Amino acid sequence: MVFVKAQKSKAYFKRFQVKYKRRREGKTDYRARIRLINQDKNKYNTPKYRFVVRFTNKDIIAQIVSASIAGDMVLGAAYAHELPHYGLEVGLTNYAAAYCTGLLLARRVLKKLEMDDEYEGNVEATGEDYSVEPAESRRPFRTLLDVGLVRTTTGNRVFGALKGALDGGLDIPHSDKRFAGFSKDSKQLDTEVHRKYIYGGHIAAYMTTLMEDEPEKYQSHFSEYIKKGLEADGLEEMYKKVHSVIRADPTPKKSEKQPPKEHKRYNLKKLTYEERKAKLIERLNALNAAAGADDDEDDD
Amino acid sequence: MPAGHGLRSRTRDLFARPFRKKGPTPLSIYLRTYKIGDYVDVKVNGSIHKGMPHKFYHGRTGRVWNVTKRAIGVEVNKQVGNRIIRKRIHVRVEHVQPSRCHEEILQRIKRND
Repeated sequence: MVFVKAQKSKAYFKRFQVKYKRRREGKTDYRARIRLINQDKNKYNTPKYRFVVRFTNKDIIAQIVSASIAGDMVLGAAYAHELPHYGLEVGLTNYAAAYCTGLLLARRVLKKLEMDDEYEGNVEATGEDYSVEPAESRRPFRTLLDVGLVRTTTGNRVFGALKGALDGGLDIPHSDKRFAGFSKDSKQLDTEVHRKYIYGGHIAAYMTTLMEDEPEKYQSHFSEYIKKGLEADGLEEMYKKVHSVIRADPTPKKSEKQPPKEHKRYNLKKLTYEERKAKLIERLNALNAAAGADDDEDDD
Repeated sequence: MPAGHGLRSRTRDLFARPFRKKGPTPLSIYLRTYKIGDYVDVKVNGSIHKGMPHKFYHGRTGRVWNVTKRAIGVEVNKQVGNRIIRKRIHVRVEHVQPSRCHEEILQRIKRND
């Protein structure tokens, strides 16, 4: 049957309660957010920092954020699209790039807080579980991982970013259960496998298998790598270099941006109150003048 | 069988959430800080089941005398028989709002300083 009675009446809409805006957009998990933000009341105004990791299709966003009633305040941020400055051109959303982004954010924030000399973190990235030890003067910078709406499976890239931040020197409570290389059967983290993932070993392995079996697919899939001249063997070296460059200078680079160029206006600009009043007076004068002319004509 | 006088008896409407405000509570409730000596209103949030005060205290205003991890200690006046007792209750922060009863005095102090 083609016509169906209207399902949603006016009463339905009157009673409808909308979910929170960010829930409607599907971006925020409020249940998790309440638990991450809630600070002990007997700690008063001490900020509680979240280490936020979000993945888009082509970028990784890592931020250290504290919440306030006016809005969340970002202490520091690092993006995967900044990694070309540090020598990483391709593969900006893989596990290794996530590690680099987490590391970059950690070093950046520690440098901002002037703690980067005390808390070097784990300079040589092995895959094993590393936690920061408290130094003499200040306690380590503590933050909580905020994954967002991601399904936290073993080997997820958010944990790559987490590992980067941990090795960078941040204090983030964690367990090694979800790092790449943890085996459910032996209940242990295989540090060799995790190290492989941090240095892009899984990508290098795929590159070699594709080169042997399906060269055309290799050309199409890894075209950017080929263009930059990256081979499967050279990946680990490249990532090691990137790590050291990040540790050398993590400050963000300001890019020169031209002021945005003027666009042609396709709709009329809204007039201000004074402009509208002036227009009205003009119109009235014109009308009176025309009416005066008509009266003169009529009189004559 | 008779009605019963349990802890939450006769609170069907009192503890109900207002129209179209059901579900998750806004985050600003959790971000407010309370210091000892502040005045607060006790207003029960029926969707949070922990740390609920008794229905008597709904709508009362008192002073903060204690601050713990998730709750606030509030000192409220209650008339028992022929006297008024200052009762100390602990209430979770979701059931508490900062009171504006003292606001005018605080502003006057600020202006006079």
